[in-house]
Amino acid sequence: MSTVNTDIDSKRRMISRETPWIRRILIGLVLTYVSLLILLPILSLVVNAFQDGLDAIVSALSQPDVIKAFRLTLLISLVVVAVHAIFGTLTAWVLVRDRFPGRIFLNGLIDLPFAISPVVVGYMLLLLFGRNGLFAPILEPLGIKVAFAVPGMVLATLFVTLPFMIRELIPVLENLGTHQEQAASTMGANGWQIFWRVTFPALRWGIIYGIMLTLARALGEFGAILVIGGGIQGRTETATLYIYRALDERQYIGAYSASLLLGLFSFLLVIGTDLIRRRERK
Amino acid sequence: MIPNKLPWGRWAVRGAALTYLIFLLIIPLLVIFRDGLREGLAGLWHQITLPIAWHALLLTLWTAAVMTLINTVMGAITAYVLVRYDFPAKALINSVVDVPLAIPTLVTGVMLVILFGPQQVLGAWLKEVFGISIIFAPPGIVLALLFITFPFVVRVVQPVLQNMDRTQEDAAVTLGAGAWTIFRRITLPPLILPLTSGALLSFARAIGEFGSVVIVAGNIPFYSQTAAVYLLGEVESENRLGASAVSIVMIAIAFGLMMLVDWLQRRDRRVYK
Amino acid sequence: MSIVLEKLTKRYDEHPVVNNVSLEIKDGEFFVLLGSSGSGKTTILSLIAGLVPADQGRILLHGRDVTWLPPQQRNVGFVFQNYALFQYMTVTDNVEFGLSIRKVPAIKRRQRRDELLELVGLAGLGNRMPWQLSGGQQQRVALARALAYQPDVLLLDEPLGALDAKIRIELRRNLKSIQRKLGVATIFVTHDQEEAFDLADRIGVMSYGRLLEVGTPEELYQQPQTEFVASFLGTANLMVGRLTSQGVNLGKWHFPKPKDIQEIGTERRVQVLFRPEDVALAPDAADLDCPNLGQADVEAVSFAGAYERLRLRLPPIPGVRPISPVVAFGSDFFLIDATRSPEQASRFPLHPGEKAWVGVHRIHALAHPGLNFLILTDGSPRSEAAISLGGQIGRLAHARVTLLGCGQTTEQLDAHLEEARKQLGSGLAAIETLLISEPAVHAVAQAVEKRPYDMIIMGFGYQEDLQLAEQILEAGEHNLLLVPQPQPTPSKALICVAIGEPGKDDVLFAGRLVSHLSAEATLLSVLPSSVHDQNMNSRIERFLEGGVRSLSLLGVPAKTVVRSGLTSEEIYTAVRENGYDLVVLGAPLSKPGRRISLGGVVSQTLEKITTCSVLIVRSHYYRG
Repeated sequence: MSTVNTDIDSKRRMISRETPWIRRILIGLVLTYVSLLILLPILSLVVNAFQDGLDAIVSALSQPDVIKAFRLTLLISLVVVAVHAIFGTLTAWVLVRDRFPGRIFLNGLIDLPFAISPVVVGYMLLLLFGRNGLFAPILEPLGIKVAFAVPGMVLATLFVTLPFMIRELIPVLENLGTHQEQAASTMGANGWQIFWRVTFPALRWGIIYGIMLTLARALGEFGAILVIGGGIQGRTETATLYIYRALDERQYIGAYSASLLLGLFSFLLVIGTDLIRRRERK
Repeated sequence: MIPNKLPWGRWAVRGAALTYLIFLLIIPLLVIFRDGLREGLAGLWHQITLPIAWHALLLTLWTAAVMTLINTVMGAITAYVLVRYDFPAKALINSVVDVPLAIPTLVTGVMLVILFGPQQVLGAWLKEVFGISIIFAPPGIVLALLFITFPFVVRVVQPVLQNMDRTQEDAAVTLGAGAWTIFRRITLPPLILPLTSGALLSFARAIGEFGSVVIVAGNIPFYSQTAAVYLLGEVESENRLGASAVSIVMIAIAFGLMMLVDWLQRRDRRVYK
Repeated sequence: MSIVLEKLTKRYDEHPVVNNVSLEIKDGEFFVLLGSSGSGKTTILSLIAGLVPADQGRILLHGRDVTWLPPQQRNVGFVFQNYALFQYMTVTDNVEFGLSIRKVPAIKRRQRRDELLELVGLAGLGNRMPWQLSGGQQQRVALARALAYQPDVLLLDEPLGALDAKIRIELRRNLKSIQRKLGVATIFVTHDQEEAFDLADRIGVMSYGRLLEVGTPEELYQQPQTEFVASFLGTANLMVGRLTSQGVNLGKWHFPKPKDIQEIGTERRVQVLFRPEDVALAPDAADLDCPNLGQADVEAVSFAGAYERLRLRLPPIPGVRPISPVVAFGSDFFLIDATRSPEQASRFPLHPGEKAWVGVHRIHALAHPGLNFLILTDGSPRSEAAISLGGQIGRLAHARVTLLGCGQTTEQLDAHLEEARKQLGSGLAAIETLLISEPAVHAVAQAVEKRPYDMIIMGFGYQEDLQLAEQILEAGEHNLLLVPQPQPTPSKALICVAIGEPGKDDVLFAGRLVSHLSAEATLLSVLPSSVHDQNMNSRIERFLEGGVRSLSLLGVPAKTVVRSGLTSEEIYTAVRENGYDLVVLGAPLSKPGRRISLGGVVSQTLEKITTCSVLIVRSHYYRG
């Protein structure tokens, strides 16, 4: 009959003790706030993007420079995701399972990209790879261009998306605990086998979520790649940089359409991840 | 404790992770610090106390502070409402909380300009009736920051509320306490730490925000130009000393805040529950 | 009267968690509510405190009707199972909380706090935080906190459950002496029978939301009124016997009438109870100074500190059905639990495999409730068949029969019920009629809520009634007898079993019923035609042989048959060839949400068999 008890418990949780008035005011407050702050702006973007009809949007998005911009965004994002999937997993592993001096400090550093302004990120890379940068004497003779070129933009996006994968995997690794891995080793499995057959399957979902969050963030990167990339039309212009330019040039339909598309894509990505996560938990 | 063998040996893995971090984090930071302190602390101080720079920094700080205050209160209320009450559209609101994380900040700026811009119905009406400009003015900055940091407080408070031991509240009820007393003395105390860390997270995030602000604020020096936008200006005009100095200040604030949040979260875990 | 509960009922999802409970607790009394988890005892406490609103009934504290008052105004002290101390406050703040709410001035608060901390043995620990204290200390703070403002009533919800055994015992003694000193009426909830005995002035035993019996520990232990209480409160040897004017008969063994049975009345069946300490063991019948039950084999002996525990095997006593200790499926002997003091053990040492004569010093007789049937009728001709067969079986089984009239309420139905009642009236242990003018399913649900039944009997036509049958099975824990047409009392039963735990329940209930009918039984197992596995065959044989043994213990002659093919086909063929007039099938295990689907074997069989009754037996394995 234990099912009865847990049902009772979950019903009990819902009971609130405040008067109905307070409840109504608080709910109303939240509904108003969320509608005005979040729902309404989204709605207005959609409405305004469609103000000349779907055809206008399609034709705006079919412009060659728009297509090029989106392609560049995708390219950079996919490279970044690939790098973080591998190295992010490794780093998470080392941080959770290994003990070495300075671990806590390093742990704190990982969160830094959350808080550092993207402009600062771009600037830092400029100092390293720009004309008078630290690595300039090494790279110039080799003809490798990092600043004001795609490689620089990849680096910038790598920096700002650093924490996502690691932060997703650390709790998963911690929860997993070492017991399963130890059990496997007592049953004769070597390091590789343990990793592939015991650890990796358990990390699978964490890695997937991490990839999706990294991707969503990378798609939307703006400030850093503006600084390090320069926004050179046709060469270092991503979707976000295109939108910036379009607004500047008062090509509103173009700007809104691209915003809509970019926003929609990221939105679906994150909400999709959320839904899968919630269903998987059940 | 690592099982007896990591793939490729323990040191190779450590090395790879370390390289990854060094290249992407540590070297860039070192470079900026070296650059900004080229003329010593005095030079740094001079750069940031230039009137434009100083104003930009102060504007950044107070808009972030105002936003943090509003966000903390509304985030707490939202979390409470989502956990304790049942109402139509509850599932919708719960999902909407995460939306700001999904939307590129640039797009956020665009949306807000569309909705509240001076040419738009809402914006014009607000200007006429209340004399408030939102877009291309500091209130717009606060609004954009509120949008972006909305999930931070809510998602930090929600799990704590969800997992709270309701029997303490039951006990208080049998002892005679009314709803407000229960809230004040029993529900609220465990929320202080999460609220604080959520607030600090929002604040830290807001300091460096660029994408939405550059669209929404209008970037008028001495009026609506934040530190990040000012920095962009310095970079574009190749004023390295100024750029580096401001960068250092922003990094220091960000780093300090993140350390504080980390410390708070570790403290929270240590309190016996 | 400090606490009075009148017909208190609380439902969750239409399921009564507290079912019509009435109780009176005197001033200063230490009352223990005893029951297993899910019995509703914690919910009663929450109802009294006001943490949960009641659906029906009244609660009076010191004469005040508090049924609709919020907890804050009831002035109760509540000690929770997980202590529920305020984690962010010191011990002092916790204890003083109730007083500060009542705006007691600081000086008085501190005085009271010191009194209480001393009372519970925690003087000087006021400044500690809850997480700095041990479990036992935290519980004492919880107690002090609840007592600080001198509540009218003290409620404790399994407060010692999370503590180690030694601490539990010590805290228990403290608790009792504190309660005695303060004289506050107290309800203590627990599932631990030993704890209940130690603490209680009176105990109330609860099961599935109902309050079964109330009495002092000695009363409930020595003279329980129900089978559940008898076996819950300690080891019980329980079997069905007959009470006559000369005494109590267990088959051929005779015992004098227990002193506490006053009225003679008619001869009737009773449950005979004797406790392990009432058993005497001797090498020879002549050495016993009390009536005996024959010679037994010792099955197990174990050392329990202050005494020796034994389990013995008795040959079956014809006409006597054992209830407790439970006899495993497939055995054909009785079990007896006995305890002896070390001196007795040394005088006549016993080891497994040896023999001893079993004597019983003292017995107690409980009313044997027998079986409880519900006959469903809506006035249609098919119901007639159900009524007539149900009546016959009920008479033979000495069952209590309830006639439930359902469907539209008309004078016809009323008259029809009266007539049926007269028809059945003689020879039944008890008969009553119920008229609930709702569709059959709801009527059954309401009837079952008032009292559970062992079996529901209804007229059945495959086309119309399959879904109804499913719904009725879902409504409670009863078995279902489907009667397609009028027929005489069954004399040949076919029990179709699937081997495995649930199948055992099918055999045992069917056997019990069949033994009342003095019918013979055949156990049938059907193999899917494709399986020819030696392993499987021997498992089936073993199971069926076990079934035969269990049936013989119940006095039912049985044989076995194994066939292979499509199950429903084989059953139908068997019925046709051999003229069985009762078919027993096991109901499928229920799905989540307590839904039962009779699809598959059961429905196929029901479709084919239209001439004889089918009994669908619920296995107990559907529960949790």
